[in-house]
Amino acid sequence: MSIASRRRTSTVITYVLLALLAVYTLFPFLWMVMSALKPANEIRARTPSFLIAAPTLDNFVRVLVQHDFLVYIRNSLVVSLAACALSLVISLLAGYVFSRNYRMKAVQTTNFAMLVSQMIPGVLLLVPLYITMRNLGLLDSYGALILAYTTFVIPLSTFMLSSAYDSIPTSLEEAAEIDGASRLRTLTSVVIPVMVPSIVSVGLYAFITAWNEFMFGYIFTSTDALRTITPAIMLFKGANTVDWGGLMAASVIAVLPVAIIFLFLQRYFISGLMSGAVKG
Amino acid sequence: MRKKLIIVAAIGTTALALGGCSASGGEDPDTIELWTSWTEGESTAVALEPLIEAWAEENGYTVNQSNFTYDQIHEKLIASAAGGNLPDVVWGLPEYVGEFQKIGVLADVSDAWEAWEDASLVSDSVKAAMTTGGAVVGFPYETTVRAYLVHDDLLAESGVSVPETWDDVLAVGSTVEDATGSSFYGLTGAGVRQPQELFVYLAQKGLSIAEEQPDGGYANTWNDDPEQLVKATEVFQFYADLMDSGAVNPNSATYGWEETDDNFATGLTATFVTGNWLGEREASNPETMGDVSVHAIPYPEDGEPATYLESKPMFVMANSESLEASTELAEQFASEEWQSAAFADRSALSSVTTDSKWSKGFAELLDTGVAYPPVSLGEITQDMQDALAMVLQDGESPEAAAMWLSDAINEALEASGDASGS
Repeated sequence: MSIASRRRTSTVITYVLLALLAVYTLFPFLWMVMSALKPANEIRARTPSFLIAAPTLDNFVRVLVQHDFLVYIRNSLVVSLAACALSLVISLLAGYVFSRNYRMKAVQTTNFAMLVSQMIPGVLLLVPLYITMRNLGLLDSYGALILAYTTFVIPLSTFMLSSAYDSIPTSLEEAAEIDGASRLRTLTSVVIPVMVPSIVSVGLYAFITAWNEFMFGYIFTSTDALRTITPAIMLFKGANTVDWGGLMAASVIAVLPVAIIFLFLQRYFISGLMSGAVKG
Repeated sequence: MRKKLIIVAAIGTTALALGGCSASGGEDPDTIELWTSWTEGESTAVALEPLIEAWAEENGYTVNQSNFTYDQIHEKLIASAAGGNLPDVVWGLPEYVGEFQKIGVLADVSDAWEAWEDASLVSDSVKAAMTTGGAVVGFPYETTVRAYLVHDDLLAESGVSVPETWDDVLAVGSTVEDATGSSFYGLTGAGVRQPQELFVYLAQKGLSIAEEQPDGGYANTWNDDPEQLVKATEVFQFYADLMDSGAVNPNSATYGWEETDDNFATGLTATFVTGNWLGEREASNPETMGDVSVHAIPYPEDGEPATYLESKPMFVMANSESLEASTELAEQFASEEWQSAAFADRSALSSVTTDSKWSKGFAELLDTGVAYPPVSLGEITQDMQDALAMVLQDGESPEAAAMWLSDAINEALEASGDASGS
């Protein structure tokens, strides 16, 4: 077999495998979209089908109009964006300290504490956090969710950004220092602009984590006006019946913002993840 | 300039983060916090929302109603109880009675029950389901039993008559499936419905998962009494025989209620023990739901008819700042007017019923209803699922499963403090 035909065979095999993987990955999403577009009698048919005999937008209309999902989307956006912004500010500063002062005892201890905190499941902290939020007077407010989500994403965000800082040579900072820039000026004018892909990547992680969070969303708030989208989706699953059309339409709506953001920022996301991966 | 910008950005971020913060309203005696679990937009919600509003207006209260799933309510109540921030009135499940009574958050509404004008319309078994430690802790806002639903056309096509006993069921075997392609008997092997089903078959054999002891504690006594152990073994043997005889789909071992209800509604299963909520499927599956008839659940020849009584209690929280009004609101949910409006086919009141088979056919079985004992059930119901999995999935002997379950239930009772002597 010639080199050219071997290369062609290899390409075909690669594409077939990638196509299979794509089908495997996309199938649940496709099924979700198809179900959202089906009327109840087709969703509950004896033999499920990919084809839709009578496509309808009723499920989406019902979800958005009758079930106040626009309010839930707004709530999720507010808490996710705030948690994302807050955690980025903290992680950018903490990550810098972790990277540049890693020999300090206090930094090592904090680093270890953050690592350990990642090993504690959120559900174990549910009651203590609830009591804390109550004592802070934050229950039934965006503040409780923002604080909880920020707290949970800061450790990993800090590690990721610390790793990104590691890949930036200190000589760059020394040059800025020689030019008379302060430490903060150096950070904001020299270092951070170089780290945009990493910042986007960490921001996406923080946003998606907050957007997808389920448990605190209904534990810390008790009013419809503050409900976020993930606990709201569960309301379509009753004690004895499931409104699959509504559930699927709500799920499509919940996935859309994340998918759109990811679509536009994915090149930053990939390069952000790779930063610090290879040190030369 | 840039430094200023950074400071402004930092302040802006903090402001954005804290902008939505406000302390929860909490303990206003004129405000009643009500947690429900209805499906939004469905008939129950449509009927109840204006009734709640009218009651609040008439009595000068503000009712803050929020909707959650039952799982969410359960977890919220645990967190709220620890944080001392409970609501006033809550839709509960029978499974919660023992657990929340034990942590002392439920109000004793015995006096209100005695004074309740509709109390005489409620059966003793329903009242018993609302009672723990001698105190009534809830009003029954929704009451159903399980029945044996049959697709008459599928059975007629197979030449099979409706079975009345376990032996009748096993004798049918794969006859229905051979003739129609539909499994004969439905079985729930996993999820919340599985322990309810197992509980019924145990009750038909005269067994209880936890019996009250002279000291007020509870214990499972199967391993102490050879006769009871034999009966418990026979229940697990019935499950094994259902599989072996070809009466049920082998995949049922892992089916939850979502699958089993759907399989019955679409005719993939010819007969199934379930609730009257399946009446709703007549609209979406008219071609397969038109032939459904309602019967008593098959029982062992040496046993007695029994069914699972699910009477959901409306809880009033003991620390409510508006205890009297909250109790009155809870009572309203169980009243004839509200039950007729929102729960006409699933009411505990003997006077509230409809002419449909989904109401009358089920109501006829109320007298044979048995409810869970008032103990913490979380771990016990999981143990019941695990015990059945031992038989249906791991191939262990029915006797081993029965013995293991008895020990596991007693361990769970010890852990929850419900055990005799604890």
